[in-house]
Amino acid sequence: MAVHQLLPRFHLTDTSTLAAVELQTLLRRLGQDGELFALEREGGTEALVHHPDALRARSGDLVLLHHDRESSLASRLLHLSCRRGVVFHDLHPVEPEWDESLQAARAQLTGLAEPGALGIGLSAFATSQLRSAGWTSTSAVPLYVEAERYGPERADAELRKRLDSAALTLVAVARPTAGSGLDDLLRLHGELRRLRPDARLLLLAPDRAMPPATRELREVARHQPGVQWLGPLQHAEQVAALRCASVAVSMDEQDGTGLRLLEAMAAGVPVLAYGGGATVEMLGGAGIAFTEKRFGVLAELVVRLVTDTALRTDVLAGQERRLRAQGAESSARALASALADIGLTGTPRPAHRPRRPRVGIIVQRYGPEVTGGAEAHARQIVEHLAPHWDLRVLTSCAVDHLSWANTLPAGESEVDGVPVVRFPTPGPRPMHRLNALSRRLFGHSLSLPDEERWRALQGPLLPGLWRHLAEEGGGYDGFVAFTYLYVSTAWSVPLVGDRTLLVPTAHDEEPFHFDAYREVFEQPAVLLVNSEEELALIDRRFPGHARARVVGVGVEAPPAAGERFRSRFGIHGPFLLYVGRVERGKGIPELLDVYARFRRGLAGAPELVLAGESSMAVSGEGVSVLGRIEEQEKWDALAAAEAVVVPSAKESLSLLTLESLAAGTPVVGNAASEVVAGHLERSGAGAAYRDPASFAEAVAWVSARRGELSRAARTYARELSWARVVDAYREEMSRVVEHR
Amino acid sequence: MKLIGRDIDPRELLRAARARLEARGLRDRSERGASEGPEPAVEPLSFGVQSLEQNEDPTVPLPLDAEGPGLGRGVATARRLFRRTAQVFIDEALARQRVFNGRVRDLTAQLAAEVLRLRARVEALEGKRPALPSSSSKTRRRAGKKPVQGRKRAPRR
Repeated sequence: MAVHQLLPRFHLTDTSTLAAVELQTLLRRLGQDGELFALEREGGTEALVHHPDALRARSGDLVLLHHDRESSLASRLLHLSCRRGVVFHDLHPVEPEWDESLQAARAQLTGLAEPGALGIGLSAFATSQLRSAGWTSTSAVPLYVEAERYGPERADAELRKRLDSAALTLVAVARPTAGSGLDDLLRLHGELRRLRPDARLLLLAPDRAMPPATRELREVARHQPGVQWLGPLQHAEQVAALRCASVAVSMDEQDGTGLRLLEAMAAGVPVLAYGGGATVEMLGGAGIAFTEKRFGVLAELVVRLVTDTALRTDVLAGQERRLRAQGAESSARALASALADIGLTGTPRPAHRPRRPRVGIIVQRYGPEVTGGAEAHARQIVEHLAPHWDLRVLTSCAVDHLSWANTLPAGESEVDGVPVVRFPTPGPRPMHRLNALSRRLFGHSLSLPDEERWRALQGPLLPGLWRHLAEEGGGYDGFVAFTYLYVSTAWSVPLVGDRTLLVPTAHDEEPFHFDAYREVFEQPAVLLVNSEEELALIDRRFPGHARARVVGVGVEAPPAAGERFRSRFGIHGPFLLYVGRVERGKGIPELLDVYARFRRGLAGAPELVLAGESSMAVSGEGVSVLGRIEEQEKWDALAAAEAVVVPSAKESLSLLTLESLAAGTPVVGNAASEVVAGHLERSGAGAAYRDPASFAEAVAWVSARRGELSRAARTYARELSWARVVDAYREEMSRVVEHR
Repeated sequence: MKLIGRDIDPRELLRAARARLEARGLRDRSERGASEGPEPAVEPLSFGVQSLEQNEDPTVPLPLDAEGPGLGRGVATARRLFRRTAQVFIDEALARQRVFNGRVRDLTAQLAAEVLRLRARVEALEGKRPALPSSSSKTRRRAGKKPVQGRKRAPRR
């Protein structure tokens, strides 16, 4: 059973878009899988939202149409052979026959009503609209606002600077629908200017397209002194506009969600709103609602809200309380109840207590062909826990993490005797699109839909995995999921969260600051982190995270022969070694730069040997690139190296550092990585560098004390036993099974 | 007028606002009533038939909406000019489409009327309400109209 959502239009500033993304988030928390489909998609959202032609609904599935305008999707929904429903909050007029389109949309709403169909209103008011249109099975599922997204640090600095003013500033949303009260806002503004001649009105228009009547009002507004019409704004700009306001006002008589009021409340702006539509229920006693539009009185109230500090403080405190009460949990409960009404509940879990837990390992890639720290980590965990658990690896068909191309066959297979189920991605990931979107989004505060479209593009998109977890997840006693970043984990954890041991492999990178990842860190049964530094990082970013435990990995060096490596690859002199993916994200360009300077400044400098799969061109005097090497060759290389270089600034574990220490080889590591620097400080078996000069010093220092550092490295590595790691995993899984 | 809020003293706030208004020599006048509350339902079959009737002639243009002053007005003028000069060709090209649309309208009206009649009959049989006499159906009456003869054009907007 899946719950899919259809939208006429997926534009990031639309209320329906936010509703769809929020519902999808809530559905995952309720153990329901499902995808988004839209006729019209904003550029850059194609990975997250598919065209309705791609919808393949099964008979038990539920398809929900966000009916917010006249569209051909209404007819399409009627002819889907599965359970059907609508999500409703309001109707939006569309070109060319603006008024008639509203009537047509209303007729479609009634035409969709049928016995057994589920009508979800995004407020009690919207639900009453559904009932009056003939819907009998209805439920109210209000939207929620994540207050953190509206904090002062999330405001776009440039717009904030441009809008900042000491003048009394009203902010309001100009919806392009009848009953939005745009004319009333202008009247209130006029009245307010009689009291405060410098008063301003900021009108936030979420949509560029608007019917002629609204366009006329926009022209009137533009010529009225003190009125600023702000077109569709990005999230950070919206926060800036809200945070520049003294009071948020609404004259809306048909607002079906109250969402804009919640956003103003989250931005710390007192709300004064006409009590029409969903306003009173969404305010829930917070802010000030009024029953008649008496502009003189309202202007006085606005001034009082600005000048009376005690009143303002009380109102803001009440709004904060309301936001806490009207959170995601409350919406999730309402949605669960709505789904239960039509008999849609999560998959039941097995009641028996297993002798050997049946555990799913969720990881983005898996297999001997795959290089990558987290993937290797997952394989090691599987290898060591296979004697204790019935394991099944759930992963993609990809070998390449840049394209996620389906290289390996989909379906069941075995790796080292452990069953592996591979799910295909819908298609290769266009890396240039991800890079372009990253450049556009990184560094800005984002809305949930914005973050979700980036995560979808990041991938790997594995709809088969999510369906498997939603439908057959109940057959597993628990899961171990690797790498918070990828949606293979990020969208799986909410589905099976309380049975999951998450190995986040987190480091301080831009997406780590996305609010959308909060649930990935909060919902698992436990976080099994790799280092104290990683735990400190998670503590700072997500203070409400699930219980965490530093476990890491076991590292036990096999017997190795450095000479074997030297003769195999023809390397005779002293050399610095890097083993791992040779790519930009691992700091290779910076390493090549510091090494080139180091070599120029020192005659007879050791060579630099890079071993591992390469996704970039590498050249330079004294630099050797070996490509991918075998496991034993790696240990031979570690034994032969003068020192190992760890250039990556973003590490959660740094397996290379640990393996090098286990092999008794000192490490020269990038000081920008707290994890690497922490290992070096605790072991005393290496030195950290920050720039070319300190790199040269570190290499010289390590070379001069190699024997002494080698002993320190081995002493430190003795603590890294697999027995300790296995015990920790087994203990945590036992807790999950017992608390089931 | 009433104020609603848990964190305020509604009476005091309202009294103070009115007092200040009066001190400025203004009176608190009641404004027009707001149109809140659910919108009335629209019967989809009847709406569809009406809409088919209104839009059956493909040679009748949709209204021109000027996008404000300047370039928008220029575009609207150009479109209006195009319509005037090309209308004869549009009529010629879409003549058969007009006939076809008329047939679709008649067929749809008949089917819709039949659905409404059957729905009322089912409801009556289930004891919900008495069956409506078939002649009372507005849509059925419309379905009984003769097919449009000749040209039927909505006024130009």
